[in-house]
Amino acid sequence: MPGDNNQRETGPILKIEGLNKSFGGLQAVLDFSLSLETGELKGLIGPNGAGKTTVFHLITGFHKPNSGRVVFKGINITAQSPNRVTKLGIARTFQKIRMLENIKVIDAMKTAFYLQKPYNVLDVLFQTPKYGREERQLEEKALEFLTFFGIAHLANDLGSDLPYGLQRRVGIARALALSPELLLLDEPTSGLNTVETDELVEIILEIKDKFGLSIILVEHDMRVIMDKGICDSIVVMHQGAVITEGTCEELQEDERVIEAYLGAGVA
Amino acid sequence: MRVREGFTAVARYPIGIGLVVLVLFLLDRSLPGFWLTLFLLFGINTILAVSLNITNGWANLFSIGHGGIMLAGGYAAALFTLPVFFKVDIIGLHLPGWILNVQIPFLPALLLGGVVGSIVGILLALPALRLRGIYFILVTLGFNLIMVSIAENLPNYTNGAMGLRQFPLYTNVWWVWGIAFLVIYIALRLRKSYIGRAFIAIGRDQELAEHMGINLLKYKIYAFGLSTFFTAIGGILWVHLILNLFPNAFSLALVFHVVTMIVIGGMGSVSGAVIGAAIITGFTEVLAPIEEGFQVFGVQVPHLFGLTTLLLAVVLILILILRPQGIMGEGEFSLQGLRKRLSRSKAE
Amino acid sequence: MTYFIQQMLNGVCWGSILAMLGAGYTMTFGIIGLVNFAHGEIFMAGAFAAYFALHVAGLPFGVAAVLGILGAIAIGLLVERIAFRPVRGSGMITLFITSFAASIGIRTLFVMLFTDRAKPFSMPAFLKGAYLIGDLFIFKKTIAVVIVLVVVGALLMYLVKKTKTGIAMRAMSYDSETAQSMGINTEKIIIITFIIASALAGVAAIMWGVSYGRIRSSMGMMPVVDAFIASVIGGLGNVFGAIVGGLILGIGETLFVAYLPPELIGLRTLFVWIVLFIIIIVKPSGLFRANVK
Repeated sequence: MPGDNNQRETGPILKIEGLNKSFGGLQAVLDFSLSLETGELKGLIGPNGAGKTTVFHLITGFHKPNSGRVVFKGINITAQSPNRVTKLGIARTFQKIRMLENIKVIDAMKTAFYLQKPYNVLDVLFQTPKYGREERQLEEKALEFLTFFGIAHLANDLGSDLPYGLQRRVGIARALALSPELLLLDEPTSGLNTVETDELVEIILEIKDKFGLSIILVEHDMRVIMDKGICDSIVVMHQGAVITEGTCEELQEDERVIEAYLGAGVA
Repeated sequence: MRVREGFTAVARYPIGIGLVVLVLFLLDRSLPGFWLTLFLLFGINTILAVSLNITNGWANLFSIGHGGIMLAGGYAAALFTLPVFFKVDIIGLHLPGWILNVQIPFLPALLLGGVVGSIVGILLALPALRLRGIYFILVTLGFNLIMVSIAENLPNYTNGAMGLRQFPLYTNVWWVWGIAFLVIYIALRLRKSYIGRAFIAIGRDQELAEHMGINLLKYKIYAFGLSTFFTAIGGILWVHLILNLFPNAFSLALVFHVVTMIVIGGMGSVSGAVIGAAIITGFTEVLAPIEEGFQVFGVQVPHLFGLTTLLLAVVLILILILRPQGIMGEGEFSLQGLRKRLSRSKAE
Repeated sequence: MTYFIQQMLNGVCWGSILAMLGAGYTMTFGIIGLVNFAHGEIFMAGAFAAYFALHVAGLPFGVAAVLGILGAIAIGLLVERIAFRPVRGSGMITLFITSFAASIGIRTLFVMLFTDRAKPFSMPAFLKGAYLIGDLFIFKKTIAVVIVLVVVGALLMYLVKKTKTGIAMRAMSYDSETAQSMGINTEKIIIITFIIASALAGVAAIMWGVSYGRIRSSMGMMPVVDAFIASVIGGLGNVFGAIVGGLILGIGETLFVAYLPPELIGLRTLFVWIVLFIIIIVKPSGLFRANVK
């Protein structure tokens, strides 16, 4: 499917131009532009309320922008519905962990394989060999993902009963099950302790290589991004607008960044 | 859990179906009238509860408009199954000749009614699906009231509140339980496929489901269409069992009974819906003689119409307080699960 | 034209009843997040209490009216105790089902005890009669109903906007956890909300008795749905909106019926639903801002 396009695409995998979004009178995102190269890991940072999550909502089409364009692999996906965007190859995680209530981890994973639809409704109703085969494969694949994330032993536990750190992993595993090319991670380390944070950063780097992903990583905790130095480049947002972009080293010297954070901290 | 090899699964069916047919045949022959009717009502309630569970339990589209669906399907089928002389000479419906002058067998009538129910359901769903939570409930409630009101106030087409009589006795064990097993089978199978998983994902977290690539509108319409198809068929079976059709019989009180079934059984569980249907059917029939008044040692006990509904209301509230997940929770009844549980309790 | 105005005046009574019911409905929804389906039965119980005081005990109208309101409050508190308190916080659908069950249960109980036959509800002498202005009949009862609506509505607005209790209610309607952490006694506010909402239903019941002269066990079924729609029109949670919504709906429905061909008169229920569909599709937030204001 989308893999073939990859070779002839030379431009950026994601290009955002002049995105605007306001809620009532509040300007949440102001003239936001961004360009993400294939295979790049870009950090998107800024103080709380800078509009980072809103940018994600606008990319996946959960919110419709007032103006601006989002282009993914050369396809204009502005204001498409989330399910279309997901199908094209963008998956996201959520800052507030969303576990399907009363559902086992393994079943949550199988649900996330929805897009594969390896059989049709008649296969289900007549229980054809194809259904059995594919369903078994789905289960194996789900377990494979869980093993990769080190949570295979929890496959039969309810997702909502897991500790916080492991729920984060399920969240990322679930996003990967959609076989995305672009992964949007919304504060994946929030609520985690330092050890868990280190492990998760490792995982992120690992899946990036293994699945050939391009990633946008939203953080409001600047240390995660700065100290680890995992991002190829970093975009800094403040009050809905991009204030600067650069590498980790460049930004550490940048006074505007410090000001944005300190300013927000004081106010 | 292991998914069995497809071939053996297929091979198992003839045996299972054979056994079911045999049991149904024996019951049909041996049950005295009252018990047979009870058994049929149980089957019809099963159809209603399992299909309501698809929308209300899985997809979290909590509809209380399914009475209106039954009404629509029931009338659509009734207009074709009633004897011609009744339609023309006795109540004199003002309908085109191709409806008035035919009487069709049960199968096409069931399919016709089911399709009409499904179409009406989807027409209701299209505006309603934009809504969430209480607004959705409200619109389905209004739909039920409107359907009853229309049926009662268009006497030229429906004979109004006087209702319809003189139905042929089509409903029997084979129709009822054949369809009941079919709907149970479909529900259980769908649940273990990406389709059922999509329904449930929508029910739990619509936003997340959308970000898994699930087309919300499409699947909500699937859920509603499937649910209303079988609900309408349940309504038609019921009409052709009790042999009359009054618009008022499809009021919210009826929906309330079916909702109680799935709450008792456990919303989201197919086996729960069947258990709930059994309990409510039994409950209703046990109380029926008390409702109608009876004699004990020569003393006339006065009738207590409404006793069933009153007690059901009490039971429903108690269940939601004491065991909100119902009997089955969201699980399904399975022999393996039972065996596992038994061996575990032995080991302890 | 005279016919039109006359019908509007007739609609005012119905609109006022819906306004009172809708205001109570919207308060329970706005403040504690419960769509109290049993509100119609609270209303019906109030009417019965007044009926017994008036016709069985032979008490004067004023006393009967007070007893009617008290009766409504009693059933309201009962509903809170059995159908709301034990399942609090367990999700909108559970709350809906329990109040739905309470509604059907109470109604069925009343039908069993008192049948569903209409009972006369005679109005006091000072409300009988009408003024004739030009060709228009202005009934004294209509004037009384409007006066009561204005007075009770004003009291309610004062309570919600100016008093400490009202401020606490509004705080709860935004976020009950935060309200609790601010030292608001949420238990007390819930009870007070139920009492006020039920009292409003009681007032509506007396209005109903005076306007239509008869009551019955199933009388709560339709008005409660209409009143809910009135509160949706006014923006769920907005008391003033619900009162305006109730008047609009009541007058609109009466006019709709007045101009409907007689053979279609039974379709009057359709009107409110058409209004609802339009509102929900055009402006789902209602005419006024939501939340208790």
